[in-house]
Amino acid sequence: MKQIMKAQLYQLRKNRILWLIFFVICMMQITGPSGEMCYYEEMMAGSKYIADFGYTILHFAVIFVLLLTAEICGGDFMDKTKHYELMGGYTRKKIYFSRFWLSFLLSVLFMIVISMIAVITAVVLGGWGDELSPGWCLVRLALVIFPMFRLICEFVFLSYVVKNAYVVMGAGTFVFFAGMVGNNLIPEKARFFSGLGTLYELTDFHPWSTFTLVGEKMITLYDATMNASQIAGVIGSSMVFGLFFLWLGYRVFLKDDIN
Amino acid sequence: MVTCDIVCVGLNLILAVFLFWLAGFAEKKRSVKWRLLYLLPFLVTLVLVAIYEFETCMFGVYFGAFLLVFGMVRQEKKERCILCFVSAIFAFLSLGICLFSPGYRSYDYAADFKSGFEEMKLHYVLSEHKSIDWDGLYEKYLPLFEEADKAHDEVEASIAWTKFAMEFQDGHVGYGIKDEKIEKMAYEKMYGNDYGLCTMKLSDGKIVAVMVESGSEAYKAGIRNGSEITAWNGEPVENLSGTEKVFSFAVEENEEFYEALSIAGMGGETAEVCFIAETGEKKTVTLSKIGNYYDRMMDCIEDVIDKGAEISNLEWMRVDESSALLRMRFMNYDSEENFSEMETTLREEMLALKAEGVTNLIFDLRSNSGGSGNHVKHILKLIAPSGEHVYAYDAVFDKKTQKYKIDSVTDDGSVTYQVGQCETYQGENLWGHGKIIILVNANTVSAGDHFAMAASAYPNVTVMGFTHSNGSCQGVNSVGFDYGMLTYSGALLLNEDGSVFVDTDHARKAVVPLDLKIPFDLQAVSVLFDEGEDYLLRKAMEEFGK
Repeated sequence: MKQIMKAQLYQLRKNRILWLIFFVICMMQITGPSGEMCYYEEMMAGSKYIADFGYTILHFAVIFVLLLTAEICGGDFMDKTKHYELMGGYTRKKIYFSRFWLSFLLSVLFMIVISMIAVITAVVLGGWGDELSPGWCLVRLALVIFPMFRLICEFVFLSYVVKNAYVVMGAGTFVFFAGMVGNNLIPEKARFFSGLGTLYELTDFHPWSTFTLVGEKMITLYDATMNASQIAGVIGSSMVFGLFFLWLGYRVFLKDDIN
Repeated sequence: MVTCDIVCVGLNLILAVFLFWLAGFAEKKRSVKWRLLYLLPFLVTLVLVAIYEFETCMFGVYFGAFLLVFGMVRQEKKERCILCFVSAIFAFLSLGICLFSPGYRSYDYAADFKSGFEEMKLHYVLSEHKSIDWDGLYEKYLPLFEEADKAHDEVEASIAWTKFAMEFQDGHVGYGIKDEKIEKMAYEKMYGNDYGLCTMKLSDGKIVAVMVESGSEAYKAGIRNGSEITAWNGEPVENLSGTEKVFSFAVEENEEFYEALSIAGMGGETAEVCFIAETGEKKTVTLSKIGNYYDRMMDCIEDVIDKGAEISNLEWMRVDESSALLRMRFMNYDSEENFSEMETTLREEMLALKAEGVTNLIFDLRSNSGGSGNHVKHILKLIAPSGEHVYAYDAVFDKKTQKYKIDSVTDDGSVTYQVGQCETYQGENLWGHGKIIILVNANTVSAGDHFAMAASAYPNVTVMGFTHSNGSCQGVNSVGFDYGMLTYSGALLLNEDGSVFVDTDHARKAVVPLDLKIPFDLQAVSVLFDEGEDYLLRKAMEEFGK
């Protein structure tokens, strides 16, 4: 397994397009908060930016994770690397799970890097503020790993079914943007049925607003706390669906004639 | 949602049949790609569930769709056929359960109550001012919602929400029912049966019949508008008045004005009514139920007692040569935010009236439902005496505790808050030469209350009505549910000393002055219910004549 993972890492290191996309995404994570926070007369607090744009921050991370997984799991079908691995004596189980684990570990790493760039930029520009409790924000960020696991499993499944990295990237991006639009249609209680919905649940900070008489200004607060059932829902649904798609992808690959 | 469930069942059945047919076809292929179609029912179901929420009664369909996933990984045609067959059976079973289970697509009322209660407890700004016993309310109402859950009864849940909102005696705390049919059923249950008349308490304490339907049993028996009712179903009416809460008002006096209305809804198929006939003779009559009381009661309030001038918002009506009335139904003007155009128009219109010799103005704020404070300010400045006037103060909001900062609490429970910025306006004294009367009723609320409160301080203004204005003027927030919406006071306004602006405290005494309280007497009943005339307007004109 280690050898396959090392080979994949080597390939990724040499993949200039992927690094270019990573660089562009990082730039967008810096310019996004800068533009939004400086737009208003009064500088927006960092926590308010996170509360309002938490989902957008994670969007970019998800896009990169999608590209990364498609490249790791789907790329080697196109140049027949997987055929040679099979001929070289690696079992299908090793080929499948080594790629999955590498996708998962790298995705978590890049997800943290990409989202933290936006968070740090926002806090440096506007300070933290009183809008959100930092402790609960950290809990939510930690929980993001679970829907991320689920999304990666779904992308892995898709890669092994389609066997073409570019088609997976295209289809995944389409589903992703359709999901962004669809998230508003999904009732709060049913968010756990979709991977993006679960991610949305973690970045939805339940705003509550009051207002002033003088100038009729809005004061908006956000509730970052999560109750036990929400946390259980995020972890449970992500694990169940994630493992299901991981198993399904494995079953497809196990019985499939990769020619 | 029901349509979605029908689509879900139908689609799963069709797909089960299709996959049954496909079972052999997929076997002949080397690639497993064809078998991916067995994933389709599961994905379709997943999307439908994500959009329209999980429904327990539909579990069979969901499970059947999930079972078909295994069709993708099973090698034998026979196994795939069995899976399709079992899936179809599950879909049929679900259909039966959905059709006959009372719990199908019912809501979790207790959970909604808990979440709504918690949000309101955290953000309701008059908790201290009105001495709200949150624990007591929770213990009293949670069982009602649990009962509604057990019975899957939306009507009972709606009644529980309505009664819960009434407990706050705040014009801004209310519950709106989404479904008109449910609303009608809930109100019918709450307010009782119609026997062809309403009951109102006169200022001297007597309870009389009003809104008597001509040709009804009550009318034929000799009951007329103004006939004194002495007993209802054998019980003296004095004992019945106020036992059933019809409406909740911030000001106790306002609530008492309407409380006798509930009497005429009491009873079953018939009601026995004792009354004093026009001859002075005491009579008893048994009246049959002719419908639900809610409609008659609301007609009595909205179309007669509380009805203002029947013209559009901010429209003028010349009452006579020297008097004009401006109707103010709500405090908004198109979609304008700064109201400068409205202010200019009103100024021009008032100057034109002045030039025509009009000296008396009536601002008709009856049943004014409120709106923007900024709108109020722009009208007030036209009639206010020259100089700067204080409108109200904002309270200081603490984002960490998510509450307004309390300054002090005295031994008697009075609360003062930390005072923030002050809203002021410059008076133009456009009507210093004449008199102004403001007509209010118990449903003049929110920004309507603001207007009455501020204008009552001007020397040429008289506030007049049967009752005080509502006495609820804070900003409004809401909690939404699938089947209704709870509103509550969520933004706090203060006086200079940090006390709450306008809203009554737990003693429920009116804060907005009522300079002239018009007695609700037999003359008022006759003018309102027999002649169909505007009694308060008549009284306002008499006042100008003095």
